Amino acid sequence: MSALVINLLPVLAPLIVASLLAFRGRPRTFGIAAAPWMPLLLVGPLLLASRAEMTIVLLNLRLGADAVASPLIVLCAVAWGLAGWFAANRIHRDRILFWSGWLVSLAGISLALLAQDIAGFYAGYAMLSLASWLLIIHARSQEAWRAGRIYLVLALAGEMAAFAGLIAIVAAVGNIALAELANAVQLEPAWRWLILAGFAVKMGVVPLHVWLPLAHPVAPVPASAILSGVIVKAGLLGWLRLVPPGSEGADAVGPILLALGIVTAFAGVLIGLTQRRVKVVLAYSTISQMGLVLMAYSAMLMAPDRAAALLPWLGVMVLHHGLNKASLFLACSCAPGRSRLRGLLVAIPVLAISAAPLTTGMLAKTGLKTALAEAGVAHGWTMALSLTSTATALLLWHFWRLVRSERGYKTAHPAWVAMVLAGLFVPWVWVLAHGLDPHLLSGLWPATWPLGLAGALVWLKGGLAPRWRPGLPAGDMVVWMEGAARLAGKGLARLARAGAAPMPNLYPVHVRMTRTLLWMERKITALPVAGLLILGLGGLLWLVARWS
Amino acid sequence: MKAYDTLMLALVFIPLGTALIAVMLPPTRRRWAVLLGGLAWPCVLVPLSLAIAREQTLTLVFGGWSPPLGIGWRLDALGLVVLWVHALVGIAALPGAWQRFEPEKPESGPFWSLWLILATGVNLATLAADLFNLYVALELTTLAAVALIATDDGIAALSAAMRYLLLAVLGSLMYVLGVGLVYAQTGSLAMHQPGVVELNNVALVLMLTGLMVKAAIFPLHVWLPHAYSNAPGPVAAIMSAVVGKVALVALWRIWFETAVDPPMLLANLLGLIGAGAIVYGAVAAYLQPRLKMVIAYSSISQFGFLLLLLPLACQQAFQGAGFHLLAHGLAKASMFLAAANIVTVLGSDSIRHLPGLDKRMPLEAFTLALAGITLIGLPPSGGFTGKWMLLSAAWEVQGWFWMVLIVLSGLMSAAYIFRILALTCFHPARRAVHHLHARPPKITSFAALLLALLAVVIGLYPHPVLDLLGSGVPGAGP
Amino acid sequence: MIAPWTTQILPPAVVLVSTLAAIVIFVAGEQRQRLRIWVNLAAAMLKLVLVVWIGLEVLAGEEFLFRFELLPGLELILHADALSILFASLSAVLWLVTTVYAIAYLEHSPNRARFFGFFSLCVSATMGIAMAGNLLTLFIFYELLTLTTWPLVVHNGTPEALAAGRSYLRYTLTGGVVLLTALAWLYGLAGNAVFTPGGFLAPLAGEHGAELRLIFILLIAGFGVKAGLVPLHGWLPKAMVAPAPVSALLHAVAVVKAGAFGIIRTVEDVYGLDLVAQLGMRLPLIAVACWTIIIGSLLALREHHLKRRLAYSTVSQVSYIVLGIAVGGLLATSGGMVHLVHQGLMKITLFFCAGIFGLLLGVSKIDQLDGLGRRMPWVSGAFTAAALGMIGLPPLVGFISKWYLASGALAAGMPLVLAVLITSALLNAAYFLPLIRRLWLNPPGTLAEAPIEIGRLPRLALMFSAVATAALVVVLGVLAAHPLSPLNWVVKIAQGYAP
Repeated sequence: MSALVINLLPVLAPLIVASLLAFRGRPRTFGIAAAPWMPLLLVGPLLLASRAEMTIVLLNLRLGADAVASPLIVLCAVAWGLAGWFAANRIHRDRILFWSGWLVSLAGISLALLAQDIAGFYAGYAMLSLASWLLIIHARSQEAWRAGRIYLVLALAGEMAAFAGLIAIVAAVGNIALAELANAVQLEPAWRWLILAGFAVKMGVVPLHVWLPLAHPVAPVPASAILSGVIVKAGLLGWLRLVPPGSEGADAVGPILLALGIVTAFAGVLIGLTQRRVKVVLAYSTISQMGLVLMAYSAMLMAPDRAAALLPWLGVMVLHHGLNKASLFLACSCAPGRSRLRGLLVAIPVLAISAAPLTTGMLAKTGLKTALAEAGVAHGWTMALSLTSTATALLLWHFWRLVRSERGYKTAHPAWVAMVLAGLFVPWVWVLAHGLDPHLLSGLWPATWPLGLAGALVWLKGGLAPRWRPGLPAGDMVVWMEGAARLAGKGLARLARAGAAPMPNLYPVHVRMTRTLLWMERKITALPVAGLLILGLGGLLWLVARWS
Repeated sequence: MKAYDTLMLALVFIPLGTALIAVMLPPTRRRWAVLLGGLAWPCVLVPLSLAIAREQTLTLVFGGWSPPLGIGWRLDALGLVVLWVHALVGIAALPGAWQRFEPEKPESGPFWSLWLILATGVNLATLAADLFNLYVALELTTLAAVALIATDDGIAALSAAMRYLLLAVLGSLMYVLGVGLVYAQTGSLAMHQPGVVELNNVALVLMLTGLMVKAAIFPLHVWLPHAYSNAPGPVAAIMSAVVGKVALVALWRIWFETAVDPPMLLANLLGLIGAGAIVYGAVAAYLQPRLKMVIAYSSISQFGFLLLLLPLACQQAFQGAGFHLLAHGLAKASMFLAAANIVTVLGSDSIRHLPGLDKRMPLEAFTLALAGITLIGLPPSGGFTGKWMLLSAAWEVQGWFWMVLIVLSGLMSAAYIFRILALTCFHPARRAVHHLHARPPKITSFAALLLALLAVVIGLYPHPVLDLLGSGVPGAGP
Repeated sequence: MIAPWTTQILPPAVVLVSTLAAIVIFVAGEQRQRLRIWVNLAAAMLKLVLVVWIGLEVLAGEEFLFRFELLPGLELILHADALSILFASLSAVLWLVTTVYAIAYLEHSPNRARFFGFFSLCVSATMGIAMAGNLLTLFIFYELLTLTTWPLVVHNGTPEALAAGRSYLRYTLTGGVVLLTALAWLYGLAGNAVFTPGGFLAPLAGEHGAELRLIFILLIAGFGVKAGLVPLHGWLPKAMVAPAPVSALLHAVAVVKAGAFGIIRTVEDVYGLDLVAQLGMRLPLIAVACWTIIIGSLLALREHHLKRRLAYSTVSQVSYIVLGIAVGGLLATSGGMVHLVHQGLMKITLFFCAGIFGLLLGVSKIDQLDGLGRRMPWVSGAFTAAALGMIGLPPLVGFISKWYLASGALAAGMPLVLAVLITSALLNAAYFLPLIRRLWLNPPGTLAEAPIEIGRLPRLALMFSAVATAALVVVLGVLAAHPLSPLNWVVKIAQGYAP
């Protein structure tokens, strides 16, 4: 019973609080005050780590925190909680819209994190996707609507693709527990790709990434923080749950995903370097980093028997990126150029993400390299991986320069400070808790030389002179997609107009018929005609009788 | 047997007797004669029905000389059905006729006599067992009907009556010519002894054509619309229910019982004519601007059904046609009675005046709706039963054309029925219509409603009638 | 256990309860409003009680049968099997809610006696369809349904209403004619046979295969008119001129579901899915259903009139039922049948809300929905819940149906059907999400007319109806795995057909 309550609370409580927002006065105030505390409820299931099964809910809902989801649960509790604290006094406009989106997204991601059956997971994921839209369109400007539209189209398409894939699983084995999925089902490759592609939209894997750079600038700062920090990682969870390492045939897709990962990693950086808006640059950085996460996942796929051991390293990557990226987003509205302290608060995560030595980023990179080594990947990949560090460093240098001219609040919000500190320490705690070997000394040189290379490049290029910067719009390929959609829409509209030809007007026909009939009746009513008709008919009958 | 002889005699002689008495009695006493004539002979039907259920046919021979030498009367199941229709409709029409032509008034004398003579003629036509008797009965009916039509005021009624007279007389002439040919050839006029009378084609065709004029089969229907719509309501009810029907029943008898193996091609042609009647009547009914004309053309359409018996000759077709006769007679009569009330209240039956009727005269509107259901043939009404039996018959003989026709006829009837119903109940009332006359007594509305209800109810419990009809198939079909 | 005579009398009693109510309402006349309200509510509740009673007995294994011979060889049969109870209980519950709604909605309208009289007769006909034990009975009540719903469609008496009524009659009476032909033909071939799970026509397949095929097409076409299969759906959008309770009832409960129910009975209890597949009719049926699903959604996208958009959505969604039945197998059949209930609930909520918007604020077009979330939060909330359900968002009922249909399609080896379902879900999102956005996120526009004032009790009644059905949309989805949910009832039914 208590397991049930503890597991259900993180899902239900945000929804209840969100419904309180509908009522003016006390309930609303209470709701807004309580909202930032909701993510802490996730700690309960994490500590309890027991399963609860609700046979009458949904399609036999099962909840529980397990090893796969635990890094994300930690990340969600910390990042979402701190961002909520930030939002509590930094969001002043359209608060109901913001908090309802915030809370329902939280409920969704909690359900996705805690769900132990397919339907429950999908339910949480769908709720999350839809509610995130509310956060993206918060500003309700032209740009926000456009970003929301593109996000929604991609998110729904991705969700449907994932749904198609998971229905294939369900058709074979029903709504089974996720823990048994790996052994239970043999999926055909097409379905597996659908699932991967569907969840890849959230992760921002090229070429499905186009919504990220559009969504981040328009969303409120705390929303961007959790979007990049937590929500995109729900896609990873989807992969881990539905195409788990060890499932039949999953190792075949590993190499392709690896290649995709590295392409994403580089593409994100390259396009990001052309952007001038701070949050767009951060968005591209997220895309790039998610490419690295994809590489880790593909490594796990390629070495399924080592997957359980690699899981904590994946957790490190996730925690590291989530917390640090969130703090960078929070920095965007805090005028970091104003003071030394704030500059420091930005520098720490920048260095971390760049995988500077002794930072959590180095840990993450180490983890990734371990994973690749376990998977037996060729050494060339590891080299490429190091080059991504260079690329990331360049991008973040670009960010550093842009963010220092940002204006914002006069004070550094304590939540921001806490987030930076969390990003600094939590991954280390995680590493220690799981007894992982951080390869501190051996990892030092591999962490340093890419940064050195980056620094050299910066010095050579003189701070990335504007000459060679092409003018790519944020979201690059999305412009083509929109154009194509517009053409399709026009075509459909033309088809529809052709198909909707108006009904012919039958009234004149009616009038003509009536007149004709009345005329005919009048004519044959005249006695001579009637008489002739009688005789004529009689004659006809006689002829027929005669003939037969 | 003797008891039944008396009863059969009563069928004819009660109305005949009371017709004569009605003329002779002073106006104040007339009503007793009318009541006797109108209500007494239907009572005779009850024991007769029981007898028919037992013995299938009852014959009465005059003077001990059996046909083909003597005159005889014969009552079979089909005849019984016609008589019941006549009785029910007659009783239902009585209040309306009474209200319009009160027996106390001196000028109503002719009306009631004619009314009763019409009843005599119809009963006689149903009972007739030989061709000449039939001719006499039909003439009696026609003449009475013509005069009754003319009792309504106005030039329209007179001209309609004239037209009916001329055309009916032409039909009678043709018929009697045919009868003469038959007598000349065979020396016998008995109807119910197949094979005895050899008909050559000319005689058959003459008789058929004559009867078709009387029954107003398209395209010889031209007298009917004006006759029905200009006659007083009760008269139109009786005419639509029985007068046309007896001619058709006679046609059936001649075809099935008298003629020897009539050619199938002719049967199909007649069926086609029936089909034409159905379609033409339905289309014309849809386009009419007057309510009574709509009902009249609807009659033309429904008469076409009865001709379908000829190509579909088998037991189910007979049951279906007989049942349809019953259901349609009841429904059509109720519609005419309701229309009569509408004319009384609104002063005209133009469809322009119909909107808002469901509030003013809800009983009449409901009657029209119920009767419409039977005419369309929606289950579970009597019309559906008739249609279903005809459909099964068409299936039996593999007549696809007839099946399609019967099924489509429902649609066509629906068109004009729903037009009327839409106008009556759902159009907003456009302008104030003055009451020109006093309201008709409630009993007339209820009488019409009861007839329509009966038409629907017999569909729910059709067994007695169907069994009756099934046992009395006139020697035809497989 | 109940007395044997009760098993005979209960099915017709269920049908006749509302007929009696109708007679009382017609006779009582326009003025007796109190009486009318009481009769309506009492009859609705009595019917619900009877249906529940029969349902519980059926669950315990009792058999209900009522036979009446209409013509030699033609019997009227009313019975209560699990599928009857499913449809009957849906109708009974929704009739009760719609009655409450209609009483409040038509507070100031003329001709209420006529409306409620035909309303009750319409439900009688629906119950008759639900309880029908053979095709003849189904056909009779099907035609009665046409007759009783036409006065409701033309109730307003405006030229548009009358034109819509004409169109409705044209379609439905033609459909009836087609059905009659098929029925007569079938009776000629197979005699008077009752509904049998798995069908009773298999023995005839050998020599009469071509005829059975043609009869099947006729039956599906006849039922398809009411079920709104494209291209027989033309009457549906036009019928939207009827008052909102009529649209709600017609589109959620009575007419379209009757058509779908007829198709279910034909495929499962007359032919049997195996015979249908053997005759080569299964794939065409699936194709027609898919076609309707897509076209319906595409047509809905174009519409700017709110109720017409909902009408096209109905066209699309009812074909989910046909699709589920045609695909076959336990999962898909369950999905199709449970969508009967789920779509009914969602669509009735949407129409209730559209009706309230129309009545109180004069809203008829999509762009007039701007900012209504602030003005009428409860109604907008109900609308949102139902719309999200239609899109298939978990954990609402629409998701449950979609889950079963999709997995059933794949279990039967038809990935194309899955593609159709997904396309449809995306299209649903495309035409429902903008509505939700307008309700909550757009600034309020100016109203075309001043808001109408109605009393507090009618207002509460209207909102209660909408919110109650919306609540069911949520609750039945969240608790879908409960033993008493429609889903489990449907799975039991489907197990009888597709073990």
